[in-house]
Amino acid sequence: MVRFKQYVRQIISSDFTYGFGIGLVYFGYIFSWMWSLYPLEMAGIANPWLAFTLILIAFLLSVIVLALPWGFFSWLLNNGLHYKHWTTPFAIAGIFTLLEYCRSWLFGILWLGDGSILGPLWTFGNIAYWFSDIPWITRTAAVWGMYGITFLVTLFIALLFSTFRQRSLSTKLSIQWTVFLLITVLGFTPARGQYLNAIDVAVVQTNNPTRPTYTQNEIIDDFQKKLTLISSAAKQLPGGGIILLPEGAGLSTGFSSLLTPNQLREYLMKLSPQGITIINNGKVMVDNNIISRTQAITPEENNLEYHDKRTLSPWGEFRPYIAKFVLRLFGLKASIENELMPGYAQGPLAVPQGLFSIAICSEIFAPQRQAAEAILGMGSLGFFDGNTLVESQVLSAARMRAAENQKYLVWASNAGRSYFINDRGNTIKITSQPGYEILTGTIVSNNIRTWYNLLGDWPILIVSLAVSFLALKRRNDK
Amino acid sequence: MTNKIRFLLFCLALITAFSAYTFFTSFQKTSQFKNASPLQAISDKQVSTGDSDGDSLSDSDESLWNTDFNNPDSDGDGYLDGEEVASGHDPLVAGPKDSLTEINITEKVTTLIVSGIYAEDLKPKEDNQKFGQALSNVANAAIDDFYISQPQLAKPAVRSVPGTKQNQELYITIVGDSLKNEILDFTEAAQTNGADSSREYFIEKSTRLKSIQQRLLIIDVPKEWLDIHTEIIDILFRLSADYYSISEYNSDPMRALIAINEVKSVIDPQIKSLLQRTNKRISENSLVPASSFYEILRLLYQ
Repeated sequence: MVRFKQYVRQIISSDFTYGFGIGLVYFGYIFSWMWSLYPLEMAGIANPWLAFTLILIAFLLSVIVLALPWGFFSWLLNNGLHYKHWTTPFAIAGIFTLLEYCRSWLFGILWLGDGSILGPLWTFGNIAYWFSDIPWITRTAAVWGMYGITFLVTLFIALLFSTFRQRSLSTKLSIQWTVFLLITVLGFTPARGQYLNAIDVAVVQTNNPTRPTYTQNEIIDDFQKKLTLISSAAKQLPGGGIILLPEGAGLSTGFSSLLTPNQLREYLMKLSPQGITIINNGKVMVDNNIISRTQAITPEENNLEYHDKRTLSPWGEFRPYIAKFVLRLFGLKASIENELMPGYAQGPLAVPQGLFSIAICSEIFAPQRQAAEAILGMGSLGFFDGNTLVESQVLSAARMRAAENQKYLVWASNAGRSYFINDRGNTIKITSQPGYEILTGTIVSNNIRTWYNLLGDWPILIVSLAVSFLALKRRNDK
Repeated sequence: MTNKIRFLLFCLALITAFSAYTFFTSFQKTSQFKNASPLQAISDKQVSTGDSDGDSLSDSDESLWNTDFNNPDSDGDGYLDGEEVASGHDPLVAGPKDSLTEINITEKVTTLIVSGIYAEDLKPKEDNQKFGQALSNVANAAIDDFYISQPQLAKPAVRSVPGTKQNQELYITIVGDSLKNEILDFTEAAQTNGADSSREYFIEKSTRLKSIQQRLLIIDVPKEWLDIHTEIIDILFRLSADYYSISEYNSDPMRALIAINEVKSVIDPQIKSLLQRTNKRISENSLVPASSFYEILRLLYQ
């Protein structure tokens, strides 16, 4: 135990601190949106000091835990690598990529709760997202995903550093840059498949801040606004198409209260005789659990297509164990009403317009690898009061998911902006501001399966593991 | 005398005292019941053949039921005494649990089946088809019992007014505002907060529907809307009774199930058809009601 303490002290007092410090600043910025949750009245916490304390705890823990891998990385740089060997820059890239992958598990582990699902789901702050504006870099995501970009960018920086250090182009450097270029070219390997149909889509953007309760009149007014927008959206889709609503739109309750299945079919046919599919999300009760479910409402009989949300947001959709512990310390009720549980159905949604992969809000940060023809996303920034930093992070993640799969992506947002992203990860249409609005556009479906879609993160992780292992082994041999 | 015997005598004394108390209490209750006899009420009061309070229950019947000659709603539950008697309810007990023919359907069905098996009229192992048929008959009888024991609505006295545009718009606005929160019920309380709050939720819903029905009974109804109005009153009455039956799922689950079925399979489609017809009539009569509810109907049924 004493030796362990000495070892930890040694790490912290050494090069660990540099990376950890940089990580604290970086993730402090990335998670600064947490402060937009204050004063937490929407979560039913009336005491402002308690709200401040809870957010502070959530913020500090998130930042500290996610900065740990960066600290470990900087420690490894100075304690685990033999710098003179030509493979060292590749090892640096490999180690950083592996640590970034591990980091995507950490957020979920930190905020473990009844509604948790563990996995590499929380990719907040991944450096690949910063390059979503550079088309040729984003394009390579179709081959090796965001961790491939992480690897490439880290390798590029390591090579630059190596080049400036030597001040002349040696044979070793030439080999390193040649390998880098070869890897980069590999990122442009085309995928197999073909483009299918042009599909018109109308997004119904809404503006409902998250609150503990809404009055019946407010809900009814909101339902009326949505119906009015759906009616206008249908007019803008003369050839039929898809009307996409944001997370928590909850149309099903209104429809089932007022329409029989036959009347619903009549309503949809009147919206557009060419065929309209409404993609709606709301809470449903399954096996005594409340889950967030996206359903396709189509004129077809017996269409029971749905997708359930599995990556739930800690604090917002369920209370993590740490939060429950802290609340109990303050003598408060630890669970929230209507706490969600992960759902069951994950397959793509088959509707008359095609086969669509669905991403509900926080799911956009997790890899999407379904064999679909396009991606439909539905989000809500109601909890964050429309914070623009969260919005930009969601947009970057959405662009990456589109590029990884080479699919068009449409995002409908509540209390934020909605957009269309093409199959290269470029934003082609975006609403000017949050609020009730319609955004229409055309997407092109395809059955292309990119290398990333087929293989996922495994190839880049195996490469990273191999180069890291070789470099560390060489260091030990030395 | 040993301590053991003393203790035994003390216990016996305690039991004797408790028995005596119980006896006198029950005796007092019987006396009260006797005092409340309707026969005594008849003998005490001056009986007339008219209907002094206009509650559709004649004065002589008021004596029989021991209700107030001059109060049309003796138990103050919103229903006229005459309505309650006609629909099989106790005019002296405020609803909703005031039915005179309360049947526990679950108990009745269980007793029928168990006694059938015990008497060997029903042989589950030997003749599956016959047993299934017998169960089916019992279930059908249970459904009949449900409808027999449900309260019946006496024909409501509706105040009819001329069908001017203004009257019609005023009428449908009042009706829309009264009904929209019940028809578009977005609350999740019944689903999420456990059995106890679910029961309260259904009782509250039943009471709310009953009170809306009472409110709608006293509004002016344009001639053009008399048919729809009568249907609304009938639906509200049945829904109120059904939700009350649903709230009793702990004591009579079979009744609750039949009530759920009636709400979902019978009343729900009826409401939706009614809404569509209402929207059509509004459109035909070029009415502009001041209620967001009708805007929703217009958007859905146009």
